[in-house]
Amino acid sequence: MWGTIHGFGPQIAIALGMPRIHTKCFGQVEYSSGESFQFPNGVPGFEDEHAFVLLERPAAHPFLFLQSVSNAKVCFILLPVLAADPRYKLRLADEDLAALRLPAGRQPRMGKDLLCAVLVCAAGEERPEPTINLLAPIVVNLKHRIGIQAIQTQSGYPYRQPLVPPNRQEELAACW
Amino acid sequence: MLVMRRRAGESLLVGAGVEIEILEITGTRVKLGILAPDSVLIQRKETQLTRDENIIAARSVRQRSISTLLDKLAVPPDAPANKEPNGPNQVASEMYLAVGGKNIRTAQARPRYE
Repeated sequence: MWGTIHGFGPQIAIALGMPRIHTKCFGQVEYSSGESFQFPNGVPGFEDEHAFVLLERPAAHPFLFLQSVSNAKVCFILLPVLAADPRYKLRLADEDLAALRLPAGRQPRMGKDLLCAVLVCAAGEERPEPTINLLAPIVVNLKHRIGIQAIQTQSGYPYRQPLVPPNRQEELAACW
Repeated sequence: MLVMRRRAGESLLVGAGVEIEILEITGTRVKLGILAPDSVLIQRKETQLTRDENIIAARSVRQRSISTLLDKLAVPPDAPANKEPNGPNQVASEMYLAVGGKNIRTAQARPRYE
């Protein structure tokens, strides 16, 4: 069962005649156009993708999926940044605040109206273990439904951090 | 790596068509002015790293890789971690606290997307 994210609560599009998007991994999903998120500049590498929907599935909690509306092939796995690092410090530059239509001169709080999530690179041929990009989180103003990828230039956060720290990988392996 | 010292107001040339001027130095930050032909792409290194990483991340999203990702992090209900709350595996259940205080082990059904 799929829901698109509206605020932080799952909302399932069931009305007839709603637009459908073809998703990369989950077949077709219906959504109402008001449920998409605008990314005016896309994200680096995908500058032409300006509209995404956020998909969640209870079984995949806490991961979310950021699916392009216009291009089924473009989908990202997201993890809310505080799930990856409860002490994560987000700093938005003035131009990022403006792009997100947030008041200037004050750092917003992650939470109800602001989603901050890292991109997950799943393990595969190119990456033996899953990694997360703490350097460039996806930040979404849930109220205005607008998002950016906010590169944390001065943070020193890594862009290729193991999702599971190496010492934990051994412990998890021991669970099996 | 070539290292050179420059003061504010001084420039350096890269190749035939690129000039980089040191405009201003304040504290730990340097303001640069760059003159280059339109054909030369200029961007912050972090942007390039992010672009490369985004492309790899997007390519990594497949049904199988999602299943593997969830399998890897979800501890099955009968795992020793559940039976020995004080055992060495206990951390597994506490590590990934999600927004709202939910725990990743709610994913213990080990879903398959096939």
